[in-house]
Amino acid sequence: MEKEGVIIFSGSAGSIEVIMNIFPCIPANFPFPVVLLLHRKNTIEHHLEDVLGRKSKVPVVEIQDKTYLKPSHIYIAPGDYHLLVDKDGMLCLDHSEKINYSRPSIDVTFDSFAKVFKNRCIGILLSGANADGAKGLKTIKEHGGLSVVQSPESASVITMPMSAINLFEPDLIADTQKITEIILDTVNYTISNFINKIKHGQDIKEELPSILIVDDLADNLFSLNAILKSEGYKIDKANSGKLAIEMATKNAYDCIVLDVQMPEMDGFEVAKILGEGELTRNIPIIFLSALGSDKEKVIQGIESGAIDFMAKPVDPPLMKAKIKLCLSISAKNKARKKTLTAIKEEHQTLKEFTTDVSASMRYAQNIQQAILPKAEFINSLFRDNLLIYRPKESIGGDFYYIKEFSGQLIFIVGDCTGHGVPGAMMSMISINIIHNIIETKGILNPSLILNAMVKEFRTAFRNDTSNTSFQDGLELAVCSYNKKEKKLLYSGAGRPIFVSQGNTVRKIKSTSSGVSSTISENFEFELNELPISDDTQVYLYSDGIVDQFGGPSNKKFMSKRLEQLIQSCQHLPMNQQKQIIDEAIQKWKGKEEQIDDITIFGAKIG
Amino acid sequence: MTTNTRITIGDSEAEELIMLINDYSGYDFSDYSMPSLLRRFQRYVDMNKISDFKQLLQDLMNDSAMINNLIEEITVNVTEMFRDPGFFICARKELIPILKELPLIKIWHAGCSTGEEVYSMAILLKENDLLDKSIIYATDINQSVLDIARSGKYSLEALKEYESNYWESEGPAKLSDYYSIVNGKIVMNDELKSKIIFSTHNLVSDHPFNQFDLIVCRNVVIYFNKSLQDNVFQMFHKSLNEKGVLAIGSQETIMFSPIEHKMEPLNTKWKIWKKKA
Ligand SMILES: C[S@@+](CC[C@H](N)C(=O)[O-])C[C@H]1O[C@@H](n2cnc3c(N)ncnc32)[C@H](O)[C@@H]1O
Repeated sequence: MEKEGVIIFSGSAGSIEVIMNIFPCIPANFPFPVVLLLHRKNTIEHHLEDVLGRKSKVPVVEIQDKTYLKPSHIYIAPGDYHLLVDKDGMLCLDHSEKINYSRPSIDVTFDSFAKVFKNRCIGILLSGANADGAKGLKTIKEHGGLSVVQSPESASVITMPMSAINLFEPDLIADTQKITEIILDTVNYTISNFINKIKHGQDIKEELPSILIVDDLADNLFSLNAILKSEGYKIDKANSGKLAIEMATKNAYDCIVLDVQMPEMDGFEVAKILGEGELTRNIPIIFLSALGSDKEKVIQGIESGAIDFMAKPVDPPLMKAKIKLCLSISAKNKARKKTLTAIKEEHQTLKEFTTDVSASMRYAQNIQQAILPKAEFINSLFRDNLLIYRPKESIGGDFYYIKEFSGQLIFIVGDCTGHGVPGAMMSMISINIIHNIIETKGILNPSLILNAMVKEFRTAFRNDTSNTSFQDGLELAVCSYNKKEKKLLYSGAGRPIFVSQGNTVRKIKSTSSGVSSTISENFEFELNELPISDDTQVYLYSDGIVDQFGGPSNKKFMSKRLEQLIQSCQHLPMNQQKQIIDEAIQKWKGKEEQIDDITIFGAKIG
Repeated sequence: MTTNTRITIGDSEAEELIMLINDYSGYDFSDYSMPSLLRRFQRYVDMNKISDFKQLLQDLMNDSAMINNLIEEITVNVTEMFRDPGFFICARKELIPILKELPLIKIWHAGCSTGEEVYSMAILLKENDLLDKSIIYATDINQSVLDIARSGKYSLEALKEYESNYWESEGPAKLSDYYSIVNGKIVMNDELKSKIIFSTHNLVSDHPFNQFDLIVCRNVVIYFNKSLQDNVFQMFHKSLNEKGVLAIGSQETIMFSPIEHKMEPLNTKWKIWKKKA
């Protein structure tokens, strides 16, 4: 029944690298078990164990059914089984249905561990390409455990971290370096104290409450000390009022026990001076008096701070009870102060964060790039293709979407109103909508895709009058190519395309209206079926290139010029075409500023 | 989104259900591994959108078909053909030579689920000209998975995975040599079927029923707690002929069980043991 605490690392694509960085740092006497759960098949060889085993200072073992976790071990969850834990902390494997297309599923394991280990469970979600783990990590947090997500900037595949961040507010978002630091820091605490510290920002290397006792008679000091010491407090002594004030301004006492009758400066006077000091004002004071009649005077003398009163000789149980009360008041005061500073600090970091625009732009850029299809992927779908994607700023409103679905190649170039952050936001929303239409609803006909988009925009932005950028929309060219039937369909919403065949280049006109929430759901986007031959090439483009100012008399590039350009190089392989078009744009632009995002996608089909 | 308030199955709810099932059907799940059972019960109430636990108990008590359905839902039946190709490679190399020496081969697949594993084994035997002298007993607690197993019909969806498993298991032929496709389903060849006897058998309560040269029971005892595992292993030991072989799931072990010292390991990665003489 070893059930102290546990740290679970989990992830999928792109997380091995992180693990390889972190695990070798775990010291041999690490006091907690570490579990590693990756989406992986049950392979014939145990590569991961071997590699990790060689690099790690603690033993690396594969989890067997019905075993217990031990500290100073790294446990690897076997592929093809869900990992569960029973209420005594025994590990159990399970081969039921895949969850989130995964077995092991991170959600399943996190859920099970969250409920058993509660506030002694640290869940870490790393890079990965699906949404598994987000829900489970949330459950860990809800049961008092610590939820840690690898920061998307540092993750090589962001889907997994982003899903968690979108679902709830993780306790920590950290890069590899920070995660390592955190893991190493756990050794200084029990796991629940550590989690508490991270969650509430307070260091719990517990400080003993400190008490100052003040009396001019050494005997009295001695007996007071004896009574209080047994309670485990830190006790300081002062034998005069003057010394008491000096000490109280230097140390933050939780309570002062103050004799009233003292020569030179009596207790009331001391209290009065303490009441004036910024740091001492709130320290609770217990007066000791043989007279027992000066209460009135005491309360008048001091404005704030808790005060209490005890007759001499001291009754130990009563004294202890009173001290406890004072300490709880003092703790509350301190906590209030802490929250105030925390709020101030947070405000400061927020300010710093928002002024660091370039950092957040870089962040957005990462996200956008992760959403756009990668070159290798596009290359795998087409015999030959070219892609020019040049946002005006680091992120933009242009996007491209390329996918093979049910034997059909769908390729789309879109151009959202605006560029920079608003444009990028719009483009991400649009990609998401397109993704849904094609991959969830299975709509593959270009003109119907456009109609479905209009419908989505209408529902999404119907009631939105506040944000003008959402009343705008986007222009796009949508093509689908059925490889088997050799059928190319095109439908445009404000974006025409070029088709080259033999020696000719034709411009295929688009319906002039773009997609937005303001047009009718039944609006008809014209559908063109285009004849195909072996050398057919299609070019989709945003208006960034044709609207670009430049040239000898600083005019727009115009689509006619693009057509001629394609005409001149259409017989060349596409990477050469790309070079030529690129150079032509650069030359045209010269010293002029790029005015909009530029995207051109060309593909050889047939 | 549903507004149904979801109920959560915790330890006490699970105990209630286990008791009820035992009282009304005689099936005893009390020695099953609790975390898996919790998930299965949870899945059952989620899928059937059950929002009132008391009502559920009432309904179960009044409806034996519902209890049977619950029992079928809580046993995990996931399986594949040539699941863990590495195991089958090992079987080709290390088991087949042992079986070759025998005049008659008797095999027991305990917890065979929908039968894919059994047909995989039959294919292995066939490929080594051993099928003719083999009898395979395939048993499970769950009647409806046995019906599927007996029919030998599987959905096409999984075919791609089966083909690749077969290939990875170093199969010398094509998987398609062993099935035909009828009405959009894979149908296993009659020759394979004719050598397999499917029957119900409950590892918790039923007695051993024969002597075997090979017992295959993979990914079944992970659903049992330690003491039930021990009992089952002892029953397997009793049911093995001299030098008989036991194969269990790759994450399961007979170590720390009463039969640990009565068996010698043949392959530690794929968890194959041989009964000591
Ligand atoms: C996950 S399947 C294993 C299938 C196959 N052996 C494999 O490894 O792919 C587990 C099977 O064990 C069966 N089972 C569960 N409890 C049982 C019991 N007490 N007696 C016999 N079979 C049982 C279930 O019905 C289920 O079909």
